[in-house]
Amino acid sequence: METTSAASADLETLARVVGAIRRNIERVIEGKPDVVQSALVVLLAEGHLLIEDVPGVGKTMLSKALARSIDCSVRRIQFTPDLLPSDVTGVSIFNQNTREFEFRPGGVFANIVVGDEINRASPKTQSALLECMEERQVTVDNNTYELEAPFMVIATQNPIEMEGTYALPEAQRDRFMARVSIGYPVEAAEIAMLNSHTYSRPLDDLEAVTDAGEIRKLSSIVNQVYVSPAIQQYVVALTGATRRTDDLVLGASPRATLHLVRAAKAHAAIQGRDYVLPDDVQLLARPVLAHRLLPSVEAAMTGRTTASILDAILAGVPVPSPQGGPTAPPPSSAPAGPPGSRHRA
Amino acid sequence: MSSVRQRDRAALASHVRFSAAAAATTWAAMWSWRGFTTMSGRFLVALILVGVAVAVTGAVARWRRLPGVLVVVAQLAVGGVTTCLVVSSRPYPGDAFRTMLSDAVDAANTYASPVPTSDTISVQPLLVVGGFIAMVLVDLCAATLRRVPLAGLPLLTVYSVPISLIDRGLSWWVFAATATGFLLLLFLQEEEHLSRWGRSLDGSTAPIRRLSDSVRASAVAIGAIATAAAVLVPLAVPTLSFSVFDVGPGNGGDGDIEVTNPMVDLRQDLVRGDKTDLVTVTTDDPSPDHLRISVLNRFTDNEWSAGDRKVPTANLAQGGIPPLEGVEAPLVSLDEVDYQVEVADQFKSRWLPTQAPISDISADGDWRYDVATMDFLASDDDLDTAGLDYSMTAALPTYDDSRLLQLNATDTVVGEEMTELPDDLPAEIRNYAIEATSGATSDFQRAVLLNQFFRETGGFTYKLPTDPGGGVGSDQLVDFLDPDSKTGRQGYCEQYAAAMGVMARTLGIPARVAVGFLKPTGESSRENTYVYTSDDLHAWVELFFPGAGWVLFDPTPASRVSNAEVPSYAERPIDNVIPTTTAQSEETREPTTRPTAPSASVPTGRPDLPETTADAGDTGSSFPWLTVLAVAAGLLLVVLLLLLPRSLRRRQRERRLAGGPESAWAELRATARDLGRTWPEGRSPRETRDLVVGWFGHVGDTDERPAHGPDLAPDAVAALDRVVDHLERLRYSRRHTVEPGALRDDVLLCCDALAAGATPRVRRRATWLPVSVAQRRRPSELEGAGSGAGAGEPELVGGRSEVL
Repeated sequence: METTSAASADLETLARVVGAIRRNIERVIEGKPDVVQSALVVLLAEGHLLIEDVPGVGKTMLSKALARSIDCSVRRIQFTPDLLPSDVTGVSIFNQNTREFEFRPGGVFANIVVGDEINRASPKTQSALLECMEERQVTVDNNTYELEAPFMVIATQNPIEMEGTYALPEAQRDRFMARVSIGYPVEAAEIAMLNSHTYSRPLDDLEAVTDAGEIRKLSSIVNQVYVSPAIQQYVVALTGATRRTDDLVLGASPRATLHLVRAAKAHAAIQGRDYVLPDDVQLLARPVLAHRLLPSVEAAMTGRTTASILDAILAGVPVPSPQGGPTAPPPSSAPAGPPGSRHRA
Repeated sequence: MSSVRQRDRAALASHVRFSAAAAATTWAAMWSWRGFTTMSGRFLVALILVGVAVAVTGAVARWRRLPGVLVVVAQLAVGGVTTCLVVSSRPYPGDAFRTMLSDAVDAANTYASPVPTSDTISVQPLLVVGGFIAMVLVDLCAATLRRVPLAGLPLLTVYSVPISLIDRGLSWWVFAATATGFLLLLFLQEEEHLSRWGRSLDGSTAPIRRLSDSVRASAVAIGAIATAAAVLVPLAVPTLSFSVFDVGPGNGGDGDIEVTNPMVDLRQDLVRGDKTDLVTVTTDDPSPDHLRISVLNRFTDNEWSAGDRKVPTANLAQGGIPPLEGVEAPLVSLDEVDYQVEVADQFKSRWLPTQAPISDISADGDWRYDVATMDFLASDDDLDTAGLDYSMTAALPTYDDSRLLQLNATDTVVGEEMTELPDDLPAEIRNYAIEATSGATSDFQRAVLLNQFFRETGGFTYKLPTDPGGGVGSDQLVDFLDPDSKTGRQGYCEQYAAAMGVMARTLGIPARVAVGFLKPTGESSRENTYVYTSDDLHAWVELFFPGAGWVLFDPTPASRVSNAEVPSYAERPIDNVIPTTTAQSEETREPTTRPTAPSASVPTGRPDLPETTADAGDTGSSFPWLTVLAVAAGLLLVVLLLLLPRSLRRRQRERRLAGGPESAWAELRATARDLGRTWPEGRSPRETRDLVVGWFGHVGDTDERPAHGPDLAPDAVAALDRVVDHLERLRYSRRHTVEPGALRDDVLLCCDALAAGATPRVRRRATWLPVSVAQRRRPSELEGAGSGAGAGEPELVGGRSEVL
């Protein structure tokens, strides 16, 4: 019982902190609780967030609001075509005084890195970010520098402007735990925004409600959330189904499976549970999986998006019985085939 | 162009197919009418022509896309012409047609079914016209309106007319053929509907696709099973005597002579005209006569009828027959004579012709006798006399005439029903009786005088009926006895027998009418062999006198029952009051009396038959315990079967309510399914919960169509949330403990709310016929309930297994 009460105390702390951050962000981003929730989930799950939407809906605002809510180091990198990898990772400069090379950390050395318009940078620069995101370290001139936890990259990109942009390759997209779209605000929220943003700059008024240390603690709490075998089976069945269906040429990677479980754990913790439900998985499947999938030509021709294909898969894969009943059959929309046979070479 | 023509042809073929099926189905149903006439072949052949006319006209008219009204008009015109042609040989409804139709209506009103067919009597026109109308109606519903189910109504009418008019059932194959035709029509209609999917661009309505073989095979199988079930199930239902079908020999239509209601059939057979050999007897008796078929012992206003019979299983026509009641040895002596009887195939009777009385008989089949009447009745529905051979020993009585004449009648032995008469019997009948018997000093003398009144003194003449529908009710008898009436004092055996029977009863003498054969008049090449023909059918009277038993009197005048042919004492004139019966003692063979038992005239009951009576009582003539027990057991079984699903469901619910969250969940699932809800499979508890709360209704809502939604039952929603929470913890958390049965109240609350959201009809079905009883249990439930680790142990779960 002691563990239970300790766990519930942890969860209460988590809920309190998350609630504070959420309220903070919502002072700036109005009427988008789902997006805020996803951002918080990714933060607690130690993932990276890709915000993809048209200009002016508040992508950067969201990133900044989240960053400012936490008392930690924040860096913003504006990605442009002429941005160099060293601008991201840092560079060794020869110090005349000491006659030695010394490392000048790049923009990535912060707890929260806001990468604006990431698809404007050249692939070389983009891939420089990759190593940092996955390995949480930077290697320059054979020296490896660890990045401090928490480390979260919040990247934004604009899907409309295609000229002069370099679309993120699949591998890089795969490193983002979730992709969210903010979307246009509803009428009431937009009016409220007019009121609050015309007379003042709410972002400037934001104060940190927590710090990096607490976030680290919360992440460790999230790690303790229990994932039952049934849930594991369910997640694997879901990602497996994305690999088997004919509608997708690229299914979810094992990293995607991992990300989905971690995100589900974070979501469960935010909901005050120390165990994951199938509903957590279902809720997060779309933001966590959709940006990693590539629809087949046939599906694209019939106007089906990855999101709708994913919905069909979610509807088709049954939630496994906790007693370890027969393994869920593949959904009707995803006929069985050799796993990965449709992957690109 | 050619494809259009091809489609046109296909459309015509489809119309022809449909019309032909409709006409053929009606024609098959018309077979049920063949019991109405003795020559059923004629109208059925005529109806083929009519059917072809109606079908072809209809098919062509529909193919030309005439409006429905015009189609019917065309069918009525062409079919009507054909009908007139086949009925009156003229293509228009002229005088000949009208005459024939009115004659047919008369014949149908006059004769009982089957109506005999002769040059002057025929109901064929009526049947053909009826068939024509039926064909047009069926064609209208099935083909013109394309509403095949509606066509079932005229078909049903056609089929039910004979059921209501002819007592016996109809052949099963007529039903099967009609049903098959009807199903074929249904199939054709649905096939057409289905094959019209994706019609061609030129707007043709012809089907462009045929159904696959497997679909056709399924349709044929379903139709065959339905027809077979409809035919077989009524036969298999044991407690109902109702049967639509008579699986036995067909009735009517082939000139057979039938005896079902003896009096009616006698009347018909007398006017039939042609002489047919019916019964052949071989015997040492030099002059056999009066072979009795049946006894009519009840007189109502309209007719003499057979009345009730007690035929327990002990009274089989095998071996000796118990001695007769009311017979005294010194008064009557019996001579036993053997008879060997062969019945012709044409003679179908439910009654066995015997001498009366007899002392011994051996006949195959379940023939049983009634102790009071001593006539033999087939107790098996399929049994009749056609082609039957049997033997019997007649006990021919000889009376002591001088003592006979002094006998007075009493009904104490045979029961009051033998003197029963309708309350409103015209007084004239009794007056005639008193007048005819004036001067007699004993009842027997009165009987003899009454007999003489008909044969000699009353001025009666024998005349065969021209109108077989005459009947012998009270009013007809008054007419018959009235010398001034137009048809007065002339008649035939039935009227004489009926009149004398009634008059004897007015005098207090127990009387009954016997029907049978008078005297064998047929040709026989063999020695000692005599043949009773259809001309010999006859009716006479039996009167009861204590000590003498039932004594035969034949009141029919000499022109029919001549003195020389029938040397019976009944024909002898009895001079005034003193009858001279001494001379005829050896010839008077009065049926119905047999005196072997000594205590003959004891007035109470049947003193000479104590054992028989007792046996009869045991074996079924008294209260039928076995039947009642069987029926009760059957009813009990039915009740149990009705209650079984409900009680199984209750037990299942109790068991589940005593379990953990999985069991509770299973119970909710079962309840929802019972209420006709589709429980989502493979969904998470929360998703399921969101769906289920939408089904909740306000508890206590008695509306026919109750509203449902989560707002109506907040308590139940909260209860469901608790159940879901426990279930989620059980399934997905590290460790969760729930006391078994802890969720009982919550589950019941949810079940009530679920039921409240369903219509009353669905609720009743859920109570009495819960579908979930028949459904397979889920593996989770099996595991939960199967191990039986004891209900007291809490559920310990680590998301892996539920232990009860």
